[in-house]
Amino acid sequence: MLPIAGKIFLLVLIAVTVYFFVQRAKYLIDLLKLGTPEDRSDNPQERWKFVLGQVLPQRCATKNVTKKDLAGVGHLLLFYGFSVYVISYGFHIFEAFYDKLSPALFGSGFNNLFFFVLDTAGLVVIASIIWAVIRRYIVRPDRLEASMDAGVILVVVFCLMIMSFSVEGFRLLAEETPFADWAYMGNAFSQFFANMGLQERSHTLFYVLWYLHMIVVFGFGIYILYSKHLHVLAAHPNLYFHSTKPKGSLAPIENMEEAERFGASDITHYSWKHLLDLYACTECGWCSENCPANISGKALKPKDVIHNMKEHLLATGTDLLAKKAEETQADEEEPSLVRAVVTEDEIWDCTNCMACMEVCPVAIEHVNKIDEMRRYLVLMESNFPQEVQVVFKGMETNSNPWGIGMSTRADWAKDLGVKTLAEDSDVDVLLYVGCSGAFDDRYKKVSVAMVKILQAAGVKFGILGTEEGCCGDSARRIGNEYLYWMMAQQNIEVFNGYNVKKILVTCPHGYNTLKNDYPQFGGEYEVIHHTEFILDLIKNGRLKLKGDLAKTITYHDSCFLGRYNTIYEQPREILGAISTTNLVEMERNRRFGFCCGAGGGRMWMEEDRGEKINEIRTEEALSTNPDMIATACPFCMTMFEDGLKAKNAEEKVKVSDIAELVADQLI
Amino acid sequence: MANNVLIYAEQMGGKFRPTAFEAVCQGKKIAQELGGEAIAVGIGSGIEDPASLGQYGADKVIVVDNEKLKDFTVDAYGKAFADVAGNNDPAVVLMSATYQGKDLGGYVSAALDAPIAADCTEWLVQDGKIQVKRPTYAGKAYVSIGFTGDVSVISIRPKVFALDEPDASKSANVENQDAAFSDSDFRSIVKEIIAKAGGKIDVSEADIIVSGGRGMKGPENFNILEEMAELLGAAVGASRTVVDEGWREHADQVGQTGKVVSPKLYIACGISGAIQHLAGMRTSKCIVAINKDPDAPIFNIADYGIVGDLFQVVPAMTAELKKVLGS
Repeated sequence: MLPIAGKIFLLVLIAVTVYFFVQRAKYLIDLLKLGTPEDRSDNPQERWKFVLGQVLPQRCATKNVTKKDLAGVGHLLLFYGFSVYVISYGFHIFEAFYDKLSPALFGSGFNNLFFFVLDTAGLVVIASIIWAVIRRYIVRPDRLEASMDAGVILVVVFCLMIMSFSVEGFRLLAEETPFADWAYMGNAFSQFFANMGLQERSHTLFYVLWYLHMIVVFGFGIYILYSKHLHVLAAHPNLYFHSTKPKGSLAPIENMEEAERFGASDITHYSWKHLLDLYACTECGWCSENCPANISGKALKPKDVIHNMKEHLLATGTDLLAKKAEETQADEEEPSLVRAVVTEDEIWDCTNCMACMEVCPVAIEHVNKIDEMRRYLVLMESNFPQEVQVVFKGMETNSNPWGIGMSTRADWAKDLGVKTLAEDSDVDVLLYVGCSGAFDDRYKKVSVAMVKILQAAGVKFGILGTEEGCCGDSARRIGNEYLYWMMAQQNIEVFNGYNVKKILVTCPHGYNTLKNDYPQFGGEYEVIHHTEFILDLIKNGRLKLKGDLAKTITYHDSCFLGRYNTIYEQPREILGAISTTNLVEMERNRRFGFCCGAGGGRMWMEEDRGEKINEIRTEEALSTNPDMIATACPFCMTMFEDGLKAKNAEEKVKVSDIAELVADQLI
Repeated sequence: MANNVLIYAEQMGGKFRPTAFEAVCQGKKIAQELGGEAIAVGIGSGIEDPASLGQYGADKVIVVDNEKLKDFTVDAYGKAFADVAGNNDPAVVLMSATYQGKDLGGYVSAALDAPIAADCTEWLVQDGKIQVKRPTYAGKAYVSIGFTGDVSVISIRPKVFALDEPDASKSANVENQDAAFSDSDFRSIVKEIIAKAGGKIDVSEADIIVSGGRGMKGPENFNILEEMAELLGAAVGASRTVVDEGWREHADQVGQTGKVVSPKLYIACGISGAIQHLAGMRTSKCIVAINKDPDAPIFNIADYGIVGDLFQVVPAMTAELKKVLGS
């Protein structure tokens, strides 16, 4: 227990800290309220489970641990270590006022254990800090910045540990009976101080260091709100409010017919949750490290987008709050975010692959932010890469991005003995082939293969033929939500008209949007990707397969099949069922899979900066020395075929779709 | 005599443009069906050989020649044309739907208070009245249009109607018409005309395109395509791969992310015909494909396909063209 003067000092310190803390916290929360409303109050049980499941076992950090990067382990140690210290600070403060509230209260056994654990935790923290400093300032991985902010935090935390041991050391020297037996670091420090001849002044030094220690602790508490350490407080609510919608789905525009504004051009056009994302960012850089645009030398680095948006929000916060208070409307001004904070290059570079979101420890939604800005550019400014104009026109007039006459959409299927739903709508499943499957000569072969498989298995299916429309995924991802909406509505009307219940899709983009987006517009169906469907047929013994494929195959995970819909194993199991050899895996596979480069509408755009993403991925595939690259997506296939030509390897290595490989194996 | 056809004959730098001849040709045919005369109108400065329009069927040519009319401005040209129309009482006013024609058509229609149908692809005369057909909804449907009133203004889509051979024995009477212009007639003035750089024919405007793909193997080999192109008066196009490799300029790129072209003749050399390329040239009137891979998708849409080594086929074709066209 402290003397009266000490207690008063501590009270004042607490009061001052609370004042500054609350003031800053209120400001930060007020800024969140600048965002648009969004309801994330659903599923509280699942949300609690998620946040606790991420934070307590530190899954948020360890999920990204690889042989090359063990930083997640470091964070786990640091987190547990420092958490013990936070508990001990609580004890310290109470003990200052009430002698009775100390670890000793719980018996000497507890007391000793407490300080043993505390001292060990301190060592763990120190070790983690040293490891962190070496990584950040000597090893210098690209994803980490050797910033002032990071430096301050590392130094302060280190000092806190030293101070804490010093306090223990002086206390042991000053007091007759040791306050604990197993405070071994305290013992070590007290030895050290004794050797320095500080025994006589140990009492004074104990108190001086104790107060100093508290000042630094409280100061750090306030500093948290001004630094990237804000994640310590913001990450938990951000994880709690994570999206419970299907992974990567984009929000529809409410009341599109009456809405006056589309997309986001200013920071206040985002919901409070998007703004909370900015606070939660730990600046770990995992997103940038895994971003194919960044890796290929493009302008887009997801971490920078988030960081710049955050800085912008904080810098203009006071002004924005003032404007809100006065209720002045900012009309027709130059956007304050688009171009000014996030450049158009960054906005268009994104392939929507979601690698950033997959590895983000705190559930930030990068892709949604970028796509909102795309909606602004497309729907408000009509400002998009010029080559996309042809795609929009094609979709509008002929329901396919190439603008090929819609009356030829069923030509791929003639002479296959396939009926359209118009001819016979009593089917178990609708086969939806999509634009590539209907118009692209290369991918028509996959549609034909799928028909062969379905017929061999005796599945009762039909196609829509010329009534099939483009799924609209590219339009949505490029930002033309209006065009997407029109196309989705049209398809849903046709599906419902035939009372379609189950849809088999041969393209991951079509699959993803029909499954996860169409319900937003009243289209609820059981949607299955062809790799899921084929695996089911195999498992149920409905396909007789030779099983003698003897090629070395590497399988490329399509982003929209893999990360978006967690379909990683099904294609691999199929390949296992038809091959005599094992798959060779690329280094970046499954949830770390490297995008082919065509997502996010980039299939239709020129790539004129940096390296070509598809060539990077093709090289990676070639490095496994395969005979064949297996894919399950028309975009990926196109990207690989181009990539192989660019590497002059198209004679040596072939690209095949899973469906084609299975069809070839039918007995 | 309200059964004449008044035809705007577009000229540039004193020379009549090919679309002028097309318009005169069709104008004459319409006039014949209406039982009237085909009167061509040339507006400009220093117009050369107006009588030659007679070779395409003009019965009479009215020339409004004035230094102030050197460059096209819709106010002055429109006023001049409307004056001529006022004096010649036509049933049909006809022009080619070029930039000038589209600009002028609207002015004339308003000046004469006459209905206008622009960018027409067909016409017929029924019961002494003209009717036209034009595409609508981005080419998904055609609309048949009839006219009420005494005068109909029509512009025809360029290059849709075949041009008859000119009859050198014919010559038209030329009438010069004075036109007085005050400065207030010119709401806009052409200050400068910047010609497109280089003498190369633009891929998007060419009637014939000779295009090279990855099969060309290198930039130095494009000279065999350039040789053929020169003989044909064609532009040289390129597939995206070739442009990405830096062998050709982006301006030459034909395809989904390049130029979308629709020439009379497209010769694809060493191009496989992936859908991205097809999207840019699918609507060409005639497609010739040269590729050593018999399974190349381009053969699915080609009118004429040659499976062979382009380094043998192209020079052989060029040699034959030299004989036929004369070098």
